Amino acid sequence: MNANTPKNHAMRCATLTALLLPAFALPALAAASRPFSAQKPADPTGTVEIIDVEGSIDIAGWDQPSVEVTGTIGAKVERVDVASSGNRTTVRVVLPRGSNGGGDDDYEAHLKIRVPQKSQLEVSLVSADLRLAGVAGTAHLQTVSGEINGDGGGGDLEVASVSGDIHLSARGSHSGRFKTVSGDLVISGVDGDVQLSTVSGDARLTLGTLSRAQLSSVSGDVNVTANGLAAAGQLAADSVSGDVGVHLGAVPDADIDVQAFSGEIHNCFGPKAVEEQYGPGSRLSFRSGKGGGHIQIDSKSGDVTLCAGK
Amino acid sequence: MTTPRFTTIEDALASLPRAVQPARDLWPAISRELAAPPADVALAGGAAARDTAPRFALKSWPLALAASLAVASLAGALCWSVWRERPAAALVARTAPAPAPVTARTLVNFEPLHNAEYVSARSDLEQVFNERLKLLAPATRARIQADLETIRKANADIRAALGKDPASPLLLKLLQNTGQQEIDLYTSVAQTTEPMLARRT
Repeated sequence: MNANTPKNHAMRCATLTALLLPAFALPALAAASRPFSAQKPADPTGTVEIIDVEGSIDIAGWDQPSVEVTGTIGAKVERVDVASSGNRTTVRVVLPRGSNGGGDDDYEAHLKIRVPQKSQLEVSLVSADLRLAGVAGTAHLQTVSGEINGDGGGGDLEVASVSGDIHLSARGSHSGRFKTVSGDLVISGVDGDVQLSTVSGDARLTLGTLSRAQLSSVSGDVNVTANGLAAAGQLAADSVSGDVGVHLGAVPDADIDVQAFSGEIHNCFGPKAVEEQYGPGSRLSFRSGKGGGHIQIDSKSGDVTLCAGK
Repeated sequence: MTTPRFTTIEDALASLPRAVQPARDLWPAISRELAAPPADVALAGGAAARDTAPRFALKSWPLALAASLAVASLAGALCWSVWRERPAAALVARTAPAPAPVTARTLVNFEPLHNAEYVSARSDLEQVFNERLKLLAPATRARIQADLETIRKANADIRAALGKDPASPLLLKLLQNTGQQEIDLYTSVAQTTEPMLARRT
């Protein structure tokens, strides 16, 4: 058997290449991103501000009076500033002047940030994704196209996104303000005061008892399932072409007024909607229970569904 | 906290109940009065009626005259505005501190505001929005522009519907909301792209 056949030669070359490739490739890959680690003392109830453009940010609450940042940063990330002043700690991913990112992995920072549990959060991201867990303070979160996921932790929430989706559980939170343009929203657990604004993003909210809810959509569908409406609670919703669905766990004591210009009105309790007497559209107007609360839903061409007690 | 938020008179009017339930059942009394013959009415309240009717007529003639003059003036103003092809709103606007130019030929003007201050502020905001849009990835930019189109189309649809039903408080309210949504979109993009400016050293 001849060991120097072309076939054997090819096999040997392939084996050598396979052995040598990691030796050269690994340092090159390592140069593409580098580890980062920093820790600063922080006020247990202070504010933590986080600013990043690309990559991912994972925020978790812990019982230490400090902010810890660990992770990796891309080759073109200039630095990460972690600074504390008074009751404010800032984590800022800094990119070089004139850089535009534009999806280049080298501009990404993937950071895990641990903050005191009762911190107030102010997070501003562009295309970076955000994951949140175990932080009980007020949270102001905003992103352009990054996704926001996790647990709001019970503090008041103010969340704004342009095209990123938002999936948040916020049990124990008594105030939530959610604003999106085309990102979809799935929110659960908030009770009390809820505000929602969407252009084309669909919203599905599973809420507690509402004292005040204000929901607005242009073409996105909005579906709200809530335990009920508080005494003298207010729920107002409007939509141009998106469908609006409101499902309450208990029949509310409220004056109800639903209007649709060309959309249909469906209700599972109370009288049926009637055609408007002096113009197009239909209207459903009645007192449910003892009244005192107020539910008003307006739609142009979107369908409205109102159900309670089932 | 529990007071409804009314930003316009249309908003407030739209929220009013369409029917008000009287505190007690009024029909028995009405029915009794209807059933009673006219002579009975005259007998029952005849003296009082004879006493009060002329007095009311004598005392209220200045009020009636003033009301007539007011109605005549309003009718005249409306006729004049229609004749001159100007909306009635323009008559009011002339006394306002910042009059708006009149563009519509209808009695109700659904055109966007032309107040100079508003136009300038909106123009500035749109400029910031367009500049920030350029910083975003093409896919995100396209999505935002599509959303802007969605809002503008919704706005145009509502205006078209208002052409058929100009007095609809529902449509007026939705028109106002879509206008606000457009401003909100500009503001959202401007605010959420702040980190892209701050990142540069």
